[in-house]
Amino acid sequence: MSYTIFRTFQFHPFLLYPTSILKPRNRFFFSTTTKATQTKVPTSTQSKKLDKIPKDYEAVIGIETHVQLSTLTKAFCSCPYSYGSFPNSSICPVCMGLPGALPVLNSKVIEFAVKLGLALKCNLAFNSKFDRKQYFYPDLPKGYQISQFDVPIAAAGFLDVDIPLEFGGGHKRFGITRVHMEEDAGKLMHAENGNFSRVDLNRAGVPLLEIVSEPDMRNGIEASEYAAELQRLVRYLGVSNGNMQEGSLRCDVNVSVRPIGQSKFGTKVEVKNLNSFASMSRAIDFEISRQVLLHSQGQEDQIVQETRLWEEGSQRTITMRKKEGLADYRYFPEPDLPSVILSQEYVDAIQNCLPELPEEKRRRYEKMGLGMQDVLFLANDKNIAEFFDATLAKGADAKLVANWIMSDIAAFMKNEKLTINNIKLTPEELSELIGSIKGGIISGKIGKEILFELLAKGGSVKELIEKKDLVQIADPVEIEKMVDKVIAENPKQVEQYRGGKTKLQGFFAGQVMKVSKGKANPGLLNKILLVKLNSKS
Amino acid sequence: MAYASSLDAIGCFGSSVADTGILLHAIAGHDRFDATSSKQEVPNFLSHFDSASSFESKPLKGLRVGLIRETIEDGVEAGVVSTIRAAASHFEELGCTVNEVSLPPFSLGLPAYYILALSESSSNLSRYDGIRSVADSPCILLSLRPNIHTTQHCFILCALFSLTNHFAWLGSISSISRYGNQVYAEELGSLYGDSRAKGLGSEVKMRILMGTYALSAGYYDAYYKRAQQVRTIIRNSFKEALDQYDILISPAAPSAAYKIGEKKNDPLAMYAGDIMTVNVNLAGLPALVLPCGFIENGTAGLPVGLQMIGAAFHEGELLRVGHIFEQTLENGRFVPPIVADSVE
Repeated sequence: MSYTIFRTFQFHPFLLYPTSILKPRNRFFFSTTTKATQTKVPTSTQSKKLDKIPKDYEAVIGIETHVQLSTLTKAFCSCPYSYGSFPNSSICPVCMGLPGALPVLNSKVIEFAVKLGLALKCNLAFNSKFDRKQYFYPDLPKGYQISQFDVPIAAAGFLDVDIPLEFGGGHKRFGITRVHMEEDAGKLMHAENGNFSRVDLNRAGVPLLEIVSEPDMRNGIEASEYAAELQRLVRYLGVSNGNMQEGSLRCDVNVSVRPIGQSKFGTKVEVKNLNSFASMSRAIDFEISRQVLLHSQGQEDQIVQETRLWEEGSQRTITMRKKEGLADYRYFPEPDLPSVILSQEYVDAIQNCLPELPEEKRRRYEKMGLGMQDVLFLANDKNIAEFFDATLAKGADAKLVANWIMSDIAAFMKNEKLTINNIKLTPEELSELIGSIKGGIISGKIGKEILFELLAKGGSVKELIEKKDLVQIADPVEIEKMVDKVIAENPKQVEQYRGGKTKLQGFFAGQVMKVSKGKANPGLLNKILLVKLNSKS
Repeated sequence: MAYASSLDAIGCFGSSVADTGILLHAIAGHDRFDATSSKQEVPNFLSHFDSASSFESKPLKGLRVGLIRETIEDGVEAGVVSTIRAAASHFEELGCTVNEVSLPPFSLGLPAYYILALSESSSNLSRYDGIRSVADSPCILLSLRPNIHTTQHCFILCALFSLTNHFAWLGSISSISRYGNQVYAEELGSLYGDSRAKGLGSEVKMRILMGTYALSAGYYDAYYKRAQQVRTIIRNSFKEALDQYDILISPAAPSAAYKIGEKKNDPLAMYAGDIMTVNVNLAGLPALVLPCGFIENGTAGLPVGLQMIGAAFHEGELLRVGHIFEQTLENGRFVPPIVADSVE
């Protein structure tokens, strides 16, 4: 098994297809996951200047997002795709770009594009087409990418976002310029200690939707909240897993700065390598401050059209490549694929099956009287929202359910590193639990104990109450007996109490509760206790 | 493999119309690996080939034949014109009415065709980039695209392509042959440049350059887009003519066959030889070409081809008319004896 750099292929004994080897080019950057480099970096001096962005400049930010669709097979062939599978193990003549092979569109791609287009309130193009975007790169086997150029499937929509309170709050609407369908390229794997690269074509031909925003964002938070909302949307719709770490959702942002009052945009700079919403927000704010600084020093000519890379380690952006004029992609209509024609019935059928979208959910929760913080907590995670809704459907009170989920359940999930799908508690039982407390069957304290048991082990509220004999004692006669017993056993304290040390009431209440094994109805207990303590004075 | 995707179609060649029909019948129909192939049901093309002895005296009675005026005007060899006129007379003898019909945009077809074909092929040939290759093995098959829109005009790209090995994927994947020349290079750009410079022949490179130029920013509207508009105009003019006539006829080329290498240094003259057929290709119509006579005093006594053009999906009608024409022309002079026997 020998290989010669640049000339031939390295063969893997288990592979039908070769991986080619070539020299990496430093001026191209290939997005890699940065799980390992998620180190906490102290805020650098540069980013401290953020707080002091002069009020006389404003930033203009637009975002291009690539969303990888979670279709079973690729866009134009029947290869499956799963992230992380062995290189070149999921390829065929079509996605390898071999001669004679032709693309045949996966109809799910259209369905998902229409879904997202409708959810973004776009105008759909009932007659669109595919185009070829042509450039040479080793991860692009055909020498062109099948994409959509002048007639995107969806255009002119918007996305509503609720900015979290800690970032100033408020409801924002960001414009969507267009949504179009295209195919992903393969991946180059650069050798760590060599001067060659290998091509993995597993990802080649995986369907993508590119979503281009209007330049409506003004700071890093707005941009990252837009991206987070887009992630929620694709997850709610089930069109993508939206996972940034795996590259299922990739954002490139364009940032420019201009003096306030100027209508012309400043020179835009593209920032790449944004692997989380947090780094996106920080990268943008860094870039804004960098540009504002240049502006304020009269050096705006130093801002050039270029692609910059966010460095997570040093928390700054660095030049990746300067634009040498506009690239000519020589777009032309893809002759291997027929036009994409949508019928009104098809679109209506998809519209009618759209799930409740995050924005609709938030407005509904708001109407229930929940505060924005609660609303965002519940609606931001599709699974939590579903859990919440399922609990409500069993008749529980919205505010109580919200409190339970946001406090004890959230804390439990955080401690145990679980998601709401992994906990043993079901919405039915949470509703039952809340009902049992509200109905006075068990006390709130016992309720919490049961909750943790349910979270960790599951089971039903009714069974647990019965098995552990936890039903609240609400019979005044029985409580009176316990009160009498405690008073009789603590004559000294009774004397002190009656001598004016009324604070001791808490001590007695605690003792009675102890005798009842925590099951006494606290209201009733206190009422009877007071009567007894005070009556013989 | 694809040359000009929007024009590519398999051409069936046979010793007789019947043979060609049998071949077409075998390959016609939807191909689920080709999204552009029609799903329309394929009629039985084999039912049209009756023996000549069973023909009525006017077997094509009532058939309306249109002779395309632009194909017998200036620039077409006189011998070709007279042979085609003689063929038209034969149609009349068979009971047809023959009239001249004008297709005004006909002359626009050639430039439009070459712009579209070269644009598409410049793109299709991008994959010969020298990046992928596999161990050598003999060439197996070329994958072709069954498409019954056009039965005529098969472009054999092998002739153009100077790569040593062609690639095929029909059959065992593990035995695929290598394609794309590969070279040593320090830079990615020169890896591409050198691979393609060495691997592609001069005619191919010329076509890639012209196609790339036509698609470039600033030229797209002037070339590619205009050519597409011309294509629509041509398609409409054919449709209009075929509303009035059952079939259209023309020579298959403006001259009889020229000698090998004769026009090697004059590519434009060579491209001009395609004028009769590329229009049909642009319009996406089926056509049948068969020999109809010789230029006795011309170049070298070579045969002249008659082209019959039918409406979309009317291959069956073309085969029927072509078969009768062939069997009755000069007592079946153009049908090889062995085939003539088998038909009877």
